Amino acid sequence: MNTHEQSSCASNQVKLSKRSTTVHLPQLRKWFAVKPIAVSIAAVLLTGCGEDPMEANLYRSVDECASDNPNYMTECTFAYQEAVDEAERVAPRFSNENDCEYEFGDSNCQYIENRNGSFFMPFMAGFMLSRFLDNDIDIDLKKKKKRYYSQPLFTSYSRRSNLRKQWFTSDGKSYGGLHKRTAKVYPSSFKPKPSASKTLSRGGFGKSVARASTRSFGG
Amino acid sequence: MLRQIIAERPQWRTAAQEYGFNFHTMYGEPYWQEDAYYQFSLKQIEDDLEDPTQELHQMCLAVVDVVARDAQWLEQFSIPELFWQPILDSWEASEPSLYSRMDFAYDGTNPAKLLENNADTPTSLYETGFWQWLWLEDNIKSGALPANSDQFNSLQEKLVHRFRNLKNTEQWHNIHFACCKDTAEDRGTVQYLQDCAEAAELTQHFSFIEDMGISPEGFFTDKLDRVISQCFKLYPWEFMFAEEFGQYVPEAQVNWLEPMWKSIVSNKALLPMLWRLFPEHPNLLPAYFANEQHLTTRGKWVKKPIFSREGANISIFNESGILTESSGPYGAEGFIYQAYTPLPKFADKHTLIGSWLVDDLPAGISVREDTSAITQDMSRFLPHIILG
Repeated sequence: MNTHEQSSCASNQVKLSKRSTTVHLPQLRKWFAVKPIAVSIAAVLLTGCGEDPMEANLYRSVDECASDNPNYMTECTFAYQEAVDEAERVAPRFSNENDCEYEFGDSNCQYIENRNGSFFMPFMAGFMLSRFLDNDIDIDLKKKKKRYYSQPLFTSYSRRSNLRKQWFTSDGKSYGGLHKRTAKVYPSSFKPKPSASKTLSRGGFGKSVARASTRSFGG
Repeated sequence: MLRQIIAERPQWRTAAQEYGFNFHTMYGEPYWQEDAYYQFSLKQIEDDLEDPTQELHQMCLAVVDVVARDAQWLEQFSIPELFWQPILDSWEASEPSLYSRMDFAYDGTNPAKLLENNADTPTSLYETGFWQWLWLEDNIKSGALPANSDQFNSLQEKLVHRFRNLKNTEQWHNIHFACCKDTAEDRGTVQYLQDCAEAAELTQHFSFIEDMGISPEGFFTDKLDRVISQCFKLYPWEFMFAEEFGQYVPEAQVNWLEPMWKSIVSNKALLPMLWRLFPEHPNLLPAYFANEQHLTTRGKWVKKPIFSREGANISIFNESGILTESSGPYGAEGFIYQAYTPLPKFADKHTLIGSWLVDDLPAGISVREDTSAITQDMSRFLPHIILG
């Protein structure tokens, strides 16, 4: 077929393309890879303390985070670990397990012993992840390089709690039901504060990986 | 079919970062290359690649229909007996498939020859379906390529359509996507498919293969203990057959992508079987089973393991002995012979065409180049256009 001929007389015809015509570009852009980090600095400086809400993601696990942001496994792991560490510092504390379970539900509490003492606290239910710069006055170079903020999220499974099956931060602020995956947050919510079926075994797939030891298992 | 030189898009690395294409360079070597492209005529694409792809796929299905019903063939294909019935069941139930990539030796003039069919876990999907597509759009926009340049690449559109189809026709409510840890390329491929499923409004979850678990009821679970009912696995069936959890597969009630019958198509024993059922077909190379070595005494032959990927453990020999060999971990399960055909050379590179199918529809091509005659996993990916 002569394409030149076709195009010169085809102005009124539907173009028969051999390639995709309906690729939706924004969907293929990756959240972490948003480029204008300089823009967010400017935005924070311009707005100063008059805060604009920003979108944060609510993740139950590193895997959920990595699934959203496949190229940022390291960042997700780090953000998760940060939240875990922070949880131990900021979670509500109880001197006995019953009191903790009264607020947070059965089997939802753990015993912690660290240099600050020993206590019971609820398990961390997830973590909130957002990507913007700190506008605190104590900002330092090291912090500036960090491209995201994370903090622990908790939930309660106790019928007595008004935060039952809600995401909330250690200061008790609710971010909606557990099904929620995103929330509008203000930068200040990341300021430092005072953490189905059953599975019998895992790891039964994936052993051939070591044997094959190639880069990809695709062909 | 021409190899043309072109300037790289100045911002492509930034764009790659923006779109999460983070395996364009691997182990310090470029993988994606856009300082050149291949140009095909529409006739070459349609007559020499698209039509044969469709026909060969139907021939492969004919092979499945023979092999799945015959214990002797299943043995010849090195498939463990535990899975013979499940494979036949999956075939007779017409379990839906997603995609395949056939690799061809094609020089623009002579009939394309099928080298192998990556019908279970093909990669280089993102580069093909999206990244080379974006390359063409950018170069048309900037005027570097004529506005009537096209590309044989409806892969993304067809994938989205296929997922929509699985949701609406097959009533899939959700799907898990799984691949192995520690490989950016596989994770990127799977993420792309997740994006396509998302575009089709099919609810999707991700799990690493290594994190999959088994429940007391015999269902597979993900890390959050959710039951896996539909699963795309970028993990070869022959590995799953051989591993600890393989024993649970027949009872786990999972709709797999690819379905189990694809383990016959992705097996290199497909090649001698095709030759047996369709001898002298213009798109096939003579191929024989290991016990037919007496048929390979004259000429140049390639010995390929039944299970292998990306050109591992392949040797080329003739009457006087072995000429070239590639290393790798495969080969224990047996091998086949295929007549040697040289990959065409363009600008001193060996060029290989990957021809894609979504379900049973040809959906585009990818071009890879290698400095060696055996295409390995460090070959380079180049975009292509259709012009004239």
